[in-house]
Amino acid sequence: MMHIIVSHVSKTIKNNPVIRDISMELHSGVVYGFKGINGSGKTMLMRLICGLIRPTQGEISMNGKILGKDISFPESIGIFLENPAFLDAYSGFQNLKLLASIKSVASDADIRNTLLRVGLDPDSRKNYKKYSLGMKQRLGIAAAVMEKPDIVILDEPTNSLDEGGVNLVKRIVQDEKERGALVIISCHDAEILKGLSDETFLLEQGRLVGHITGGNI
Amino acid sequence: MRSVLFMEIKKAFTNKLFLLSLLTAAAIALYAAVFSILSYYKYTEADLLSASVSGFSLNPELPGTTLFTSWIGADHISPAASLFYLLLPLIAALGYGWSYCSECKSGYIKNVTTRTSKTNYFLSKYIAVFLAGGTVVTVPILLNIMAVAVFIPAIQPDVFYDVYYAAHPWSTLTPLFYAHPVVYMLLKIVTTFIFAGLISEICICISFLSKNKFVSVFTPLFLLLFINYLSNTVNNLPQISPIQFLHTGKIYVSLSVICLEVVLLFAVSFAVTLVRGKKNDIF
Amino acid sequence: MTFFKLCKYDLKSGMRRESVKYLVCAILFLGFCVGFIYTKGKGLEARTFGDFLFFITAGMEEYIPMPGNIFMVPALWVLMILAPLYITLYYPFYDLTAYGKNVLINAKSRLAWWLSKCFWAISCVFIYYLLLWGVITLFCVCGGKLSLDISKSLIFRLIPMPSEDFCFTEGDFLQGENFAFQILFMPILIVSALSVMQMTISLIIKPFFSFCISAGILVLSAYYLSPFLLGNYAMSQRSDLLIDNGVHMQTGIIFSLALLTLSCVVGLCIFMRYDILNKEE
Repeated sequence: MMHIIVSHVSKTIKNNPVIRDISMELHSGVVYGFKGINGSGKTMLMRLICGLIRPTQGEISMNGKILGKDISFPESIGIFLENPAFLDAYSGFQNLKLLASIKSVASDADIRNTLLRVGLDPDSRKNYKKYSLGMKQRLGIAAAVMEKPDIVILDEPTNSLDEGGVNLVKRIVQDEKERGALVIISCHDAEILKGLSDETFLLEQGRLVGHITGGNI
Repeated sequence: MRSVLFMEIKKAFTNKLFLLSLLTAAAIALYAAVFSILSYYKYTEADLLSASVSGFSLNPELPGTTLFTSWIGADHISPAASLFYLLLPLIAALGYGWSYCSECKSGYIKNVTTRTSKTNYFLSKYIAVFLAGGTVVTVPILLNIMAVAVFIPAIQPDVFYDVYYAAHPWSTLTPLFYAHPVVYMLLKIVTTFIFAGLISEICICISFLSKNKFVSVFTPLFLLLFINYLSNTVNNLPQISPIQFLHTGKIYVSLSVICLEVVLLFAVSFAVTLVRGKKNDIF
Repeated sequence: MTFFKLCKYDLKSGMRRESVKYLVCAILFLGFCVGFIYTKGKGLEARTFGDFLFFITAGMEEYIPMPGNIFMVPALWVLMILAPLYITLYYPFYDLTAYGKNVLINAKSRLAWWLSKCFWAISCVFIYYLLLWGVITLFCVCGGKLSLDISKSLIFRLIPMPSEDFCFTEGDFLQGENFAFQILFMPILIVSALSVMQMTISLIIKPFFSFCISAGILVLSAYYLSPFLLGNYAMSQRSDLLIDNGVHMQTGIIFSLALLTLSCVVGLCIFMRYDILNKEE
């Protein structure tokens, strides 16, 4: 069970406030959507929750442990932030295997299943360098979910995906929710977000301006 | 930590740039070997010719040219040896020094740091960069020694022939060169490995200031060239330029200066990597 | 017209990118000038502009390989030439993988793009040496002589055995007009040729390795006094005006212009067929 409390968090970068006094509470088994125009602070907020950047003010706690003080990073998290990034010289499977070797939670079978789930061939020897944008996107999503983390963060996962790919993302988000993960997803497309999220946070210029439950946007 | 370390080491030793720099360095080192071997045989031929013509052989001066003066680290005559040591900082940096910069820019670092702590990541990165930087320089040196050893005998150096040797009379380790040249040679190789590894760490430090891979890879080269210039400007002091004292020449090399430089390089690079690494946000 | 617009874009964009490097170079030049004052320039009657420039572009005397004669790469000379080669290394490559792709498409001409890059590289080298002249001028204004004449005592310090012709010239200075082109423009010409050659090779292999090739040429030039090695013409103390078996300046001019032109043409041929992919930096 995962319980995240974001308490009056602000972030300033080079005198530029990117996140202003945001507070929210997140629970396992729920899909949260972050909605806002470009530059509203969705990705920054996701980075804060991941522990990649530290808040200038406020704190984020996960099951009572404060991020940046008690723990550096959430103990179990899978992320897909901005552009997918992997090693050019390796295939999709090899890339995921390399990442999985860090925590040794996901087995080869898990990796294979995840690749199949996202519509990629686990036996393909094609190097990541030769992947299309859609394939890279799918691999990024696979990396986020392969270790069955407690928190799954997906930033614009439907970019560059065809209709089949978008449906795939919807299925994966649903599966993760049913597994009991805390899912945070951001998307420009209101329809997709409406279909996926249980609760939606509206962001504007780094501030939280709305919180909608029930998928009505 | 172990899994991250193995992952980094695997990435370090299997990447294309590492292999390309290793090949380039090996090509230069083998050219240096060929140069030494041909020079040796030219001299031996001259001696044989003289003997056949005049009936008298020149003093063969066998201890003048031995394996211990012809390998790349002691060869102060061939241009390839000078080129190798001139480019040593670049070759070491190309091993894996650019990786932190590259991973930050691509965003790959996010994938790793969310699975382990920043300390583990940077510690593993530090070790992998050190090992790759040292290896990419040392392996060609070993290849050079093996090639030279096939053709040039390993005759014990004799102080009577010191004009042929690149061992300064004041240098701390010169007695070791005469007494135990193999140990001297090994010590030089180990020192080269350590320095090459530490030089490639400079790339990580520079990467905190600039995310340009070119800047991080070339800075150690220009830094060391500048130190080389400074060192040549001041006379009668021990050589401080690694490009010079790793290659040797008739220059005054002090063991304490070398140790001090190692400690300084390690302390600064390690501290900067771990402190800045932990402190910096990951975008 | 497109070519001139591209040149303007490259000068603006490229210079902005490399401005920090020029700043670092300026600081290095200050260091070299100070170094000259306290080493070879010590005790000279009046340190002239020519003296500073001659010292910085001197290189090394002819190397005779023999036991006991250690070959040491002239650090100052190598640094002075590798620096502009490094400055001109990255930008063309970067421009192909990033924003420059848009510029190329808008220009609709690969020929204009390539020529503008060659022009940019040459301009970069020129600005680099202009910066050097500026720093030296500062030193001359503050405590030297703004003249291209070179002190003979400096020449004797750097060249133990100059040519007879030089030894028998009158006066304490080598007249500036005799040697001006060698110390002022030969390095610019040589480095420009090397940088365009480097740029062309970067189209085939990674820029890091084309830089290694340039460094290799410099080391070989320092090692062998040969008219076939371009670096020799950039070493003022290897000019035939100062040593008997020196290299002829006119040959150097022809050689470097030929290399520049050849690199330009070969690079153009390669670039016309070049696939512009998002290659990893």
